[in-house]
Amino acid sequence: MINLKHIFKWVTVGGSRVFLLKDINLEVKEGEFISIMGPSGSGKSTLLNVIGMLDGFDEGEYHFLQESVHTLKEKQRAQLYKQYIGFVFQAYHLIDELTVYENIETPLIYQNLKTSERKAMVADMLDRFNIVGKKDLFPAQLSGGQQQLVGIARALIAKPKLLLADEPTGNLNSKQGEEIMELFKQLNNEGVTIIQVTHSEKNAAYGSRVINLLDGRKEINQ
Amino acid sequence: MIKNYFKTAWRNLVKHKLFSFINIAGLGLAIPFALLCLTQVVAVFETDNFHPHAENTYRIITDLKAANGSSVKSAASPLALADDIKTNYPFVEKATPVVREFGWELTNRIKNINVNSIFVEPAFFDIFAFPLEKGAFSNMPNTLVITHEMAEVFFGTADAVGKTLSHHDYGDFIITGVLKPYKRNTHFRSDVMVSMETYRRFTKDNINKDLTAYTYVLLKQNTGAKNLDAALLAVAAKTNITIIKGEPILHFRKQALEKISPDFEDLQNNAYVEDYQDVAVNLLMAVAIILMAGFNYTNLTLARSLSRAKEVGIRKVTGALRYQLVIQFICEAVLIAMLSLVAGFIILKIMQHYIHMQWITWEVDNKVALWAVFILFTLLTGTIAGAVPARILSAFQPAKVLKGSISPASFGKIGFRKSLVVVQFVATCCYVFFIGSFYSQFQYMATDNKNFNRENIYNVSVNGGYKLLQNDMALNKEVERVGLVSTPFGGSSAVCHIKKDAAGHNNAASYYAANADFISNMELQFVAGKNLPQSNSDSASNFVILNEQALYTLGLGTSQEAIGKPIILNNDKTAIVQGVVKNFCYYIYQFNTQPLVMQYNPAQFHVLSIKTKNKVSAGDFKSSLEPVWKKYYPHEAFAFSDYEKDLYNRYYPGADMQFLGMISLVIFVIAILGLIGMVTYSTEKRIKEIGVRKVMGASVTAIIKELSGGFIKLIAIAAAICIPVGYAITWFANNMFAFNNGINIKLMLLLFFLVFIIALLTIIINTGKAAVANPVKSLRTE
Repeated sequence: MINLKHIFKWVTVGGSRVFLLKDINLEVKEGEFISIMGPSGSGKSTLLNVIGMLDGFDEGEYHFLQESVHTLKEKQRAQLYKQYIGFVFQAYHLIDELTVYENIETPLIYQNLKTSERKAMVADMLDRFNIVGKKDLFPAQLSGGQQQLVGIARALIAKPKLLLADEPTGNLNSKQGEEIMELFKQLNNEGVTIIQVTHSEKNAAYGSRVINLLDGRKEINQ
Repeated sequence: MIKNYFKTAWRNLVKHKLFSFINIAGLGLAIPFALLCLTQVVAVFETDNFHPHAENTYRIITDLKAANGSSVKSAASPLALADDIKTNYPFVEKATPVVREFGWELTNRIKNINVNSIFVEPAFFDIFAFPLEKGAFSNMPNTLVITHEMAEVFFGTADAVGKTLSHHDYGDFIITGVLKPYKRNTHFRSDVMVSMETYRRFTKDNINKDLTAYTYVLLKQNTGAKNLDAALLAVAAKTNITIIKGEPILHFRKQALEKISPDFEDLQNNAYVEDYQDVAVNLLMAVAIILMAGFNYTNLTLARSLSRAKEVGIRKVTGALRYQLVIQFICEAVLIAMLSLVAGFIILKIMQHYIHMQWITWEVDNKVALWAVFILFTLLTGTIAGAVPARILSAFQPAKVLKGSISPASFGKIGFRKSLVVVQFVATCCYVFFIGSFYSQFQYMATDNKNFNRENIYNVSVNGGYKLLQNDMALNKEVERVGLVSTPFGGSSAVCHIKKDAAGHNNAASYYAANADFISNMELQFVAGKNLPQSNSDSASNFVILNEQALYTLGLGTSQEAIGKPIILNNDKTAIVQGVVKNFCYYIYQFNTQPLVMQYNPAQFHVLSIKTKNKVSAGDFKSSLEPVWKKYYPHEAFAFSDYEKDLYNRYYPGADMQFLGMISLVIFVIAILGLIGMVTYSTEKRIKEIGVRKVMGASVTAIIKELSGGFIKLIAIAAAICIPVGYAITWFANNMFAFNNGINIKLMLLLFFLVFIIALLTIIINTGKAAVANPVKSLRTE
């Protein structure tokens, strides 16, 4: 599904290159659940953003499904992204001005679906996550765990093949974190490919494979 | 999708109430002026749309073709043309000439008013819809009909029909009718419609050739307009026979009534018809005003772009394409613009209610067209104001935004924006100074008692025998003195001719018939000689009082030398100079004083100028004098006026000043908004720095000082420019008036400090807000 070949990404500071990603090679098959680990500044989030097409890279090849991402134009990349990828953040990143219902609905709006279709899909999702009663609340009125649930619901609403999560439990207490990870496991069993960035060995254990990064370089798997 | 955009936009507005208020108020204050300009444009297309036979009514216009081939188009035609067409061509139902004369002033002896006048014939009222409220139009010489509004100005609620108004060249006019109020938007705009016979009696023009009149023709139903073309050719040929060689040849053509306004042909002598340039200027004004206000919206929205950046990031992550975000931000700007339109429309209605200006059209007939224009204009405003922020905001990279490593967006170079702030404030100040000095001058003109005394003076208009009335009124216990005069100071005067001796040449001079008591009442300053002798005689005396200007014009030497010298008045009468008064302003403050002659001449006394001993209530004083008046004139209304109040109204252009004041307020608000935009931008940019400084122990005042320093410098530069420029402007504005009260330093300083203190407060409040914020919030990322 994902094939990264010799990915390099750098910034130039004071005339010399500082590498954020250095010669990353990675292959991810459909149905995998991968955890990316490493200390702060090792390039975990950068890698996730590159995979999620939110960020570019300076060298290398990136194949997603049958497309060569590095050759696509911005617009085509956005189309690809919109169709196949969902994103979950540590800080939830819900739109404060929108209700739970509207937040979950947002991706569908950008896919130009009809109101009736959107209604049905959002209702399903609310049902599934047991948050029907909260649909008219604003994010500020929810607990962190509930906000993250909404974030995940939003990421899943457009039925993506790949779910990217950047420290999804980082702002949650351990019990809420466990619930979220259980949910990820369940989603993975339903066939969603998941890549998560995490600091916690315990969370990493939910996945099928761990990738360790250090200074932008992939470490050999133990 | 659009619904969703507006929903978010609305919630954003409600959430940031202060910011929304600033934006809506800023645009909302500018919009009424733009709407006014647009109203003028729509109104131009509705001029003269209320006449009954519009489809068969034509105006005859003239092309003047000179021998060298050049050609001039004129809206006017010879006076005789209408009669000619009417008598010779049977398909013409009616034809009538109209003559417009400028610079009329009429007086009922109490009030002198500038009026707008046209000369018309009875047929005019058959072709055009100007119905009478009472009375009738008479074509007798020296009769006129007056508009309802002007009748009120002269006579209040009293019936105007049968009353007299005087003109200093044409003499007295009898009012034979009062017109119903009619739509202002007509090229026949006038306060009085005077009988054409008056004009015919006085005119020295060649009525066959000179383009002095406007000719209107009403064709019979179902007459081909082509017949008229042929007739005009024939008439022109006949007229051109009499043209002397070298003079331009006349060519007449018809112009349909509804084609008169707007004028696309650039016709000459086309009074009260707006041409396409006026239309273009109004449109441009509307656009310019809105660009100024829209620029501030753009600036402010960009300055606050950080608060929207996160939303942009999330939306992009959830799949928004750039164009979708662009539409969203434009929707927001359009929503703001629409709300401003509502606010602006309310302000416009309030202005309409309180500001009465002759030269502005407030209402149009086709409301649908007007609103279509308003809404289209607002959509355009929103789109233009929203376009730049939309472009910039939608370009944010989500990866950067969500990481929090982004600074607020801006527009143009920072140096450019800084100089813009300075320019905005200097412009505001200059404008405010300009308006301020006019205000000060108008106040001076309206309340001045130095040139001549207005205090405690009440005027009573009389016709013919006044002596008994005068004596009786002098008995009132409040009355100090009763003077007699032809017409009070403050209006246009009669003209006389003076010369030094029989051989000298004549000089025009203002002429007032006055008695000694009037001159005492006016408290004029004598530089030599003394007041006129007291007199009760029925015949004019041969003593005159002159002003210094008259001495200078005649070359009578110093004022002391002039006393007792004879001059020749109106070619044949010899008069002796009894006294010389200092030059003073008795009519228009802009102009230098004219030669002035005052003479005891009972035949021309028309006004009793009554001075009271103390300040009295005008109402009480009037009712105490009214029985006296009724004793002598039981059937005539008592024409009494408070001189001080009259002249206040005459010299103080209240509505115009209010309007100009509103404009200065709007310009000021726009400048302040620009400043707020700049300050917000810079504090948002430095929000982290402020946090760190606070953690390091900086006090709120220290941070305010740090943040506001740069802006205070800008404002100081603006102030430093304003003082000399403002002084020059004030000096210039003052010197437009030959009689002025000097520069009103106190008012100017007040305005100056008002502008800059508000600017400083704006800076301090905005930086203060950033300074008191909790540093933990700004330093926390994620």
